[in-house]
Amino acid sequence: MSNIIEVKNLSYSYSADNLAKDTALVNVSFGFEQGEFIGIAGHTGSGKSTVAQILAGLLTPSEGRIFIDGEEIEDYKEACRALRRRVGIVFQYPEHQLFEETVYKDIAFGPKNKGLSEEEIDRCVRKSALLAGVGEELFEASPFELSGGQKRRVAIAGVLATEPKVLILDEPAAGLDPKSKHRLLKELHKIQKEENTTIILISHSMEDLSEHAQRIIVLNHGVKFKDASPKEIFSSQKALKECGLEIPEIAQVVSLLNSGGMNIGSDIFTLKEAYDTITQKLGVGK
Amino acid sequence: MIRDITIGQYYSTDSVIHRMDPRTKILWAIFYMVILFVIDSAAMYFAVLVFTFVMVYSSHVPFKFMLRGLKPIMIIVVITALLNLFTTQGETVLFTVGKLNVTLEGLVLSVKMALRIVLLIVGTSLLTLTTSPTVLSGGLEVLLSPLKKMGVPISVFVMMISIALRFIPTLLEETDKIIKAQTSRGADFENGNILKRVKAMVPILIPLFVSSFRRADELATAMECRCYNCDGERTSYRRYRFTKNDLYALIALIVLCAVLIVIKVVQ
Repeated sequence: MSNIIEVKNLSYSYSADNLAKDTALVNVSFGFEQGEFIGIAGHTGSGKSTVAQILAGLLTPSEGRIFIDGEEIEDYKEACRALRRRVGIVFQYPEHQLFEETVYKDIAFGPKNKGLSEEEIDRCVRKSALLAGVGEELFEASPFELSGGQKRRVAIAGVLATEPKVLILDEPAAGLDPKSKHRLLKELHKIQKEENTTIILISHSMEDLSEHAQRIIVLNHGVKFKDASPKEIFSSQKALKECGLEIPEIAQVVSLLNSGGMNIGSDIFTLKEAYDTITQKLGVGK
Repeated sequence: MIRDITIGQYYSTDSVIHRMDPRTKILWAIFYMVILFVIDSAAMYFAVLVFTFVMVYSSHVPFKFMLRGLKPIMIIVVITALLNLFTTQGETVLFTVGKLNVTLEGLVLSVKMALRIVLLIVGTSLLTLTTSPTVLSGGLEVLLSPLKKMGVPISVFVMMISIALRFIPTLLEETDKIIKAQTSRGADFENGNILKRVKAMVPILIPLFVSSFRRADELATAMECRCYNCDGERTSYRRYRFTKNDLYALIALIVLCAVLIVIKVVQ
């Protein structure tokens, strides 16, 4: 399979004079395939959001090459337009962008802008509402009357309604209670499976990323530090710490158990894996 | 484009002007504005231009930063200049475009007006660039305190101004984010006729209003939690020291102002 979107030697600077202190990204290259679930991790100011906005066609890179479906698009304006058509982005606290009178109308904003017919819009709205977990009974409600979790799901449905091939989410779980967060991440999986949408999850919660992402890209001060599977990323705890990130708590527990003499292997990063391995080791029945 | 708006922003650095008493700077800004509207000869403009240049230089605010702040108002400057250029009646006609005569007087006037607006923005934004919002409102409160005796609620007024100044950058950031979010959903702000473009603003303005109200509500709660009461007499943690240098700077400015007015009247 080939990469649907690929960036090479991407750099971005917030001011035109390329001062080092204004540089958000330096020489970052990576690509991704249709249907992948990718995590982007990094501490505050590592360039995560800048990468996301460039991929979504909202920021023009200062330097670098952009490939879409394997073909390079040299004109940045053209590339931004092409990216915008393919990529949907859910910003932090996306519920702040709701504006319509009813939930239905708000979700329909994207497809309407695409110039689709009434029936097509209706189909998009219903489908994305279902995917994002917005019940049809809410369609006629005002988005401002909903609860925080509901608002967020409506906002995500609004982005999904544009039927993006790639969905970028910037800390989508920020400020949600554990239950809503769990539900949201599960819904992302469903979107990935059912629609074959590429999901790019930006987060500094290594727990969330280890559980869901197939691949994690770690950014540190605007430079790509690592691009590998969660297992590989978490095997270098020390290097990760230097980037201001922690390995998932469960992996820390496993590493402590290992150093304490309980040899259960070091490639365990999710609660379920740890539970299975430890119960097996102890010979306790499930 | 949004990031180009520097009005009301504070540029944190150290300079003679940063260290000046806020009251001096506020009075300075007022006299500066008076001066700008009094002057009319080329020599006077030149003097004020040099004066402004020296002020900006000594404030340690980069010229580039200053110029970037001018970008959004360039449209106003250009329109004003063009209007003056084509509509001023005069004796010496330089050239004619269609039915409009461009006169020497018009040319001079349009240059003057453009310069006046630019200087006005540069000079006054120097005040907010070199004074942090808290210090600025503190200085304003002291300066306006005589009005208190007339029953004007100065502290409320000053609190309003300082909150407004404080939230300009926050709202700009918010606007930027909302524009991006709606762009990603296919909103188009750049094409179409005026009516279409105005309509395209709705998805930006409504979320902006909603979040402003939310912020205001949260801020009000936070202030009440800390016993903010607009009727009470508030004391200030900061003491503003009016040094001799401030006095000299002010006297010099007042004298300059007076001289210019006299010249104007005599002419």
